[in-house]
Amino acid sequence: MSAWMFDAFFWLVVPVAIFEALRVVHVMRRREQRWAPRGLAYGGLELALLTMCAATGSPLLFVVLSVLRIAIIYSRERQWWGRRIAKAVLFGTALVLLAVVGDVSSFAQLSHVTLDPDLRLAILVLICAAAVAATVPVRVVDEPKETLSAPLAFIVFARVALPLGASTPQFAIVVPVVAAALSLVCALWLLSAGTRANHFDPSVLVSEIILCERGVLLSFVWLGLATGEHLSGVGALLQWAAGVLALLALEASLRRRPLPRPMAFFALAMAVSLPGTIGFVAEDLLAHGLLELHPLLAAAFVIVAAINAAALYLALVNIIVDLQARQTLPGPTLQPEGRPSFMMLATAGLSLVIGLVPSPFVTGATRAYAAVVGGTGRTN
Amino acid sequence: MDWLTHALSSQPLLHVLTMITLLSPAAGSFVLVLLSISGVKPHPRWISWVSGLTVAGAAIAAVLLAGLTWLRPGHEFDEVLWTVYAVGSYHLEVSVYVDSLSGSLTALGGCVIPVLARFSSRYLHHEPGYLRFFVLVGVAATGFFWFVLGGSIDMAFVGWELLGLSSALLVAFFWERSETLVASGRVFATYRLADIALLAGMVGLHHYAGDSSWASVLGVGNGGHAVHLGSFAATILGLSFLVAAMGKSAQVPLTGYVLRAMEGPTVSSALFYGTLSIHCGVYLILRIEPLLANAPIARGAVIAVGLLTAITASLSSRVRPDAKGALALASASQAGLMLAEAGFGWTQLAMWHMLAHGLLRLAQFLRSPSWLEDAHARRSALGGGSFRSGFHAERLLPTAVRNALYAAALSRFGMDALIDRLFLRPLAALAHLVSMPRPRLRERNGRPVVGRAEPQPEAPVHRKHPAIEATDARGAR
Repeated sequence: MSAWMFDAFFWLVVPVAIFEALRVVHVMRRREQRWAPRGLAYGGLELALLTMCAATGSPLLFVVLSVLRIAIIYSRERQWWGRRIAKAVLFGTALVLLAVVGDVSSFAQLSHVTLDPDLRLAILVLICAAAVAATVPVRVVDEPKETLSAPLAFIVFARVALPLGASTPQFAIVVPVVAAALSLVCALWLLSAGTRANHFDPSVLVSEIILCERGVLLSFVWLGLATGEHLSGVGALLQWAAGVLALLALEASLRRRPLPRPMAFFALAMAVSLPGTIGFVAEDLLAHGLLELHPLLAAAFVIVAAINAAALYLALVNIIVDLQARQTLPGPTLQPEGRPSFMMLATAGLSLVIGLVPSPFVTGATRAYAAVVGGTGRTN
Repeated sequence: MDWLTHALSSQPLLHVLTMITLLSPAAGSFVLVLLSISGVKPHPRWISWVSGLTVAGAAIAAVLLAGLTWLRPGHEFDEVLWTVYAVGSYHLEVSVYVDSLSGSLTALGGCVIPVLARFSSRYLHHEPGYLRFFVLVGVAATGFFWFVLGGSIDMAFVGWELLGLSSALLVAFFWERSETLVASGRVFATYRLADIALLAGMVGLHHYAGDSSWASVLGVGNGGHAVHLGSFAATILGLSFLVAAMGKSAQVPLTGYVLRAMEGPTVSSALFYGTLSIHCGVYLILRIEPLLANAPIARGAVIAVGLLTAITASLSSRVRPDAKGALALASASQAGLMLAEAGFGWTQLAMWHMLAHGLLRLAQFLRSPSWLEDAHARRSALGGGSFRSGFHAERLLPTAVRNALYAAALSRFGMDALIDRLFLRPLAALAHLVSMPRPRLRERNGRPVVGRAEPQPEAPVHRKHPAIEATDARGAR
């Protein structure tokens, strides 16, 4: 069995890994106020580690790579923080159990290996706990250091939890319900941030928005993947990519001063899945897949998506109002618009291209889904 | 003559006209966006040319499409244009359905949008958001045509979304003022409520009928081919679509948002709250009218909501001190009447009412900035003298009742307060309750603060536009 899996799922992760690496370079550059070889080196390391994690088939190598990544992030940030450690411990334990107790040497074996039910349940619980830890929007201060896509939790969830969950009937019932509840909580937190936004410093509010929005989008991903439905699975994979693009665009536009308001609103349109963006395609597939499973789940998804959009709009409005209130001159003044950055244009362009010509990308996501479930998913 | 009609109504020609109508405004917006991000600062004349050309192209195609549909009554144009993507047996298709109803509203859009684009090219000249306005008008036109011509609820939803977001962003057009931003937030939130209802209807339609195309689900044009839905399913669907229509057409109790929407430029108010967007809810109810035949409760609700809105919005519009506010409420009131007509099954009347109202309201909105001047001109033309207020039926009422009605109309019958109390405050309270585990607010210098973010490099605050600064500097010299 090959230790490396350069399958369609790998190619789905690679673009997101590139964007995450670019984000690391960008954050380092912003912190040091100039282009620095350190930033490029850390970005390169991030890209290398994420692509290796996406490509590896070995659970133990995955654990080693994730520990290495934690060490590199520590050397970059000079700080430990609880969420990252908790996530790594949770999915690391699950993978060690899988490799040592379950005697699984490659993720590719999971679709046809027979594991002890208790062991399978323990592994699923640990991975789902890691997914929840990656989703809950706590610790606003950690936002600039966190990744926007929770790539390791996503890879483990897709590579391990999906094939194992296919033979555990409760998985497709409990996890979607928990994910739907989690998405509602994140959307309400975002609404809370939006409605009391004037109490926040704008930069804190940006972190708050990014974390809550990330929580909503990741919850949708877990929700879609866990159902085991083909349509929602494909939609969830696309939703992950769409979510990352939207979050990157939101962060890049909201952190820039003067605020590029047109781009900020376009990033909002990406996050709320405006037709013509990749998010719309993802949500359409996700909603129809959930409808196949249970209409109530589809209805919950739709309601949370609507609350999330309204909350995000309110939060964005509050940021602009706050920034305008900081001007000392009374009355409306003409602020020059900030020029869009490379990250904004790249993410917005990619989102539009995929949204307008989605067919090849949907085919890619379909192949990626087939690669991770290995024939265990339910087709519509 | 028949052979000419037949030749003109051929499928390829209709196909081309539909494609131009659906894609031309979007292409215009796309070109303007590309120009804006490329760093090129296009001359305002070029902006209005690009927008005018694409919007006018779509409008001409739309009017031709409507004309050809009217020439051949009973020959609907129902076609799948292309498949966007397919996963397994699921396909998302771009389909169109053009009958006399959709043709009428398309013709209205075709007549109105180029007029507004032309008007705006002078009205908003030298505004900082000139390009943004035309981009959003293109998006709105795209949304409107996709909604009206869409052959399925999925397609209609695409247009509905585009229309909603462009409308909210146009309300926020003067975003140097905080009030407009806050108002646009309220408008967007109301539209999201309508979106939830439309999506619920869409999910329900897929669930109960297993299909989403208007022609097959509702048997539009051929009632015998409608998917049979039970009374319960029809009622659920009818009520869902009614709530969606209430949001889009500003029906009771959601009427109040149109007043906030008047923060936008007059042209966008005319586009959305006078002519196009306000009629989309009515169109939706007219479209699903065959469904209401099997849902008496939903039909009754449509009539009740429509009549209640007609009365309350009409009274509120009479006490509004501002022209645009009065017009917006009057539009909501007329939309209420159209809903009632649709509820009673008078679809033809509602359709013509919609067309006439759209055109009248367009003229009124566009003249509203010079309303006083117009009034003086009319008075002069009639030989001067004092203004006469005309006949008001409410004067027949006892004074106490009239005063009570006046007070109620001023507060818009407490609808906004009711919405706040029933929905917004509980939702906000729930949001705050759920977010209790977040890091709590800490007092610092008397101001609440949450957490501490990564320090961001402070950019200089520009208080004036560079052009204005340069002018000031020249003045100082």
